[in-house]
Amino acid sequence: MTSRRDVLKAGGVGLTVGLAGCSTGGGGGDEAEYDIAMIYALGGTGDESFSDAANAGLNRAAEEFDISFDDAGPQSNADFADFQNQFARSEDPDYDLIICLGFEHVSPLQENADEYSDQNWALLDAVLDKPNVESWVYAAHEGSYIAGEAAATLSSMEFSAGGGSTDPSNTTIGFVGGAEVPAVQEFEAGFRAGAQSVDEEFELLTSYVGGFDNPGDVEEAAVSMIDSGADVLLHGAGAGGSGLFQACQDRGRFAFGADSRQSETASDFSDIILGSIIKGVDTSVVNAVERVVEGEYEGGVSFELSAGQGGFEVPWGVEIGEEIPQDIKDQAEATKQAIADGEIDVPSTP
Amino acid sequence: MSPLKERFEGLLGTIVRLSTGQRILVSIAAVIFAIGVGVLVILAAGSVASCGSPALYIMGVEFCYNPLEVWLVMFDGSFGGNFEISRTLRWTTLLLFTALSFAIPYKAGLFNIGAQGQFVLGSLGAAVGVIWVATVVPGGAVGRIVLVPTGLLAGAAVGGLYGFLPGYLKVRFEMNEVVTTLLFNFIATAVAFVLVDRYFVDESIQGTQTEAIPEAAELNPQFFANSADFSLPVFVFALGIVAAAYWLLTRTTVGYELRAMGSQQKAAIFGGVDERFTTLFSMTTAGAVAGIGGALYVLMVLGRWQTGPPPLGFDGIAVSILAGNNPLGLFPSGLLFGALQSGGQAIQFQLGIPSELVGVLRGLIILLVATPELFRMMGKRLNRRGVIDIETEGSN
Repeated sequence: MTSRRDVLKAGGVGLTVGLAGCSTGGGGGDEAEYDIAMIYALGGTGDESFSDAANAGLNRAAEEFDISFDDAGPQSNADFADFQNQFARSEDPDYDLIICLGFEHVSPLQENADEYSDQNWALLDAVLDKPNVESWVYAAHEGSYIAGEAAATLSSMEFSAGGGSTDPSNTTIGFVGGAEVPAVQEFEAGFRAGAQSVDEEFELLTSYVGGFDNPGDVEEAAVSMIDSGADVLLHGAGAGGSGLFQACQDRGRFAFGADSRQSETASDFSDIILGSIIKGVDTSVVNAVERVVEGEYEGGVSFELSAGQGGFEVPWGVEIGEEIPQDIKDQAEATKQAIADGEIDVPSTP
Repeated sequence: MSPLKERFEGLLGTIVRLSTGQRILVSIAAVIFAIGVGVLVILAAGSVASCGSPALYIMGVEFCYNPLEVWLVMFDGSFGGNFEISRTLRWTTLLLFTALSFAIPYKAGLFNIGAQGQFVLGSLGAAVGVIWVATVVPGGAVGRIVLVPTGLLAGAAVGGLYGFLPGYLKVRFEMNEVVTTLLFNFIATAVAFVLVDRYFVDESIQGTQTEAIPEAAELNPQFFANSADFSLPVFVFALGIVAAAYWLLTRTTVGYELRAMGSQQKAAIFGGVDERFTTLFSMTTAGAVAGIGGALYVLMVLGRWQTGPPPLGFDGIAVSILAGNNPLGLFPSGLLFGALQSGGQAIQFQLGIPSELVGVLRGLIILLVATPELFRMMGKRLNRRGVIDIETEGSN
């Protein structure tokens, strides 16, 4: 089976000059065994974060398995249902799995999972109990715990690197979230718990700006936190996170990024990004595809990827990561192991 | 008079004097030209993009996207089948309301840039109203007879009130309606978010959204593909509203006064037209119409209120301008925009072309098609104000 796009592309490849007849050509192209569809979160790829991570996972899966894929990025709340419909209706190719990224897919998928009951679906970062949907969620609060621990340790000592420095005189750090929903609140919960594991005194300033695409609001919230003494901040605000980096850079404080390695993706701010908490979105895409390819897909189940299963990563910043004291990094590794072994129980609600 | 101004006057005069038939020809030519320019844009974008398997080789240069294929899919995705046509008509239906919301005040010389906010709050009003009333009425056919009008009325009431406000600010404080309606859009989005987040949120799922409206209130697809969220009776209803607006503007006293205000404000006031009433009436009606559009978006498409609405209110402005702000022109113009929306989704889905490029192609058509109409509006306005002098020879 070959995806429609591949057929069309193959048609184009045959042409050397001119445009005519290029969509009718055929032949050639890779005969992929499985066809996968991916529908991203609102905004689609190019967010340097959530959707891009899913895209990376998809590309990795395409290297590992014999699949071809098509993808689409919703631009408004009507697009989730539309794209779900369109992929599910498609007969050429007939998709073996449609992957839906993010909680915004839940309500349209409630309907579409019933309507297209013989279509296999995978839902990432949210849970839906349907016999033909497999849900994948991440223990991101555990990654957030590790970041919180490092943040508190750095905040309590004299530390300066790149464009920032900490203020050991107080015990305040900050968190700015997008929407106040469980998937974001768990970042807050883990960050606070991690910080307080270092010192009970630590206070976490918290603000939710209401959306994942408004850097201006995030910056405002971050500035007021920094002015209140916060010296290490974490965001869970999607594309709005750049506002937090801007605030930290302007005032010489540090930040943790989220959802992708932001010291690379937001390289303008790499001089203040200590590290990033990355949900294992890419891992879950590969796993979801693998279950289909290996014939293990059963539907109606949900998986939480935790510390030991690639549920998250906390890579240090590419620019200033090296200046972070080694014992903090060792501690982070030890904590991750302890969480995986069940020795530390990280809360997922604030 | 400077020669530059003379040439400018001549150009504007030519555009203003175009007959309806000529204007339609100009629009068609503009679409064809836009498709041609689009081919170049697609080639240019495809030559700098990197992709695994290029769609096209010309003279040894790799192009990631094939322009012909893009436009074919655009057409196929908007009219290629039952599902595609109903999706196109769904967007067309909704755009008719937001476009009307711009066209009516325009006839009174007012610019309502606030259809988006009126649409958003109207849709929230409809969702909340239906969910509330549904707790006291039975389901089934009886429920439908009560709930659907409830939703429409709630949408119209909330949208109308939100249109009334800038009208009131205009007559009471002489605040420019362009500024107020534009800024009211942002307020509407934020207010709707807070209201839903604090009071109407559905706790059972993540995200900022209300509960689903009961099944009895849903306007289910009829005569068309089941999953396209398009109901033919709603489309007929929309055409009815457009016809009613045309009748209101051309066959009633209030419509006459409204147009009199728009074409020569001072003379109209001198002739006894109540400026305050006309302003409030046209802005409130505009808000109500956009609010009904919002209600239908909830009842027919989403089934609940949710963040991230499509920019139908803003697209409606362009639909109306393209139609020369004449209700009779709204259907073809709305159909073009609906087709672009629907075909744009198909392009993204089938060809994997980034949505930004699809947006560029849509914008290109809109820009080129609407530009002559924009200049026409400008010419008429300047002429009316006496800035320039154009022989209009009785054309409207």
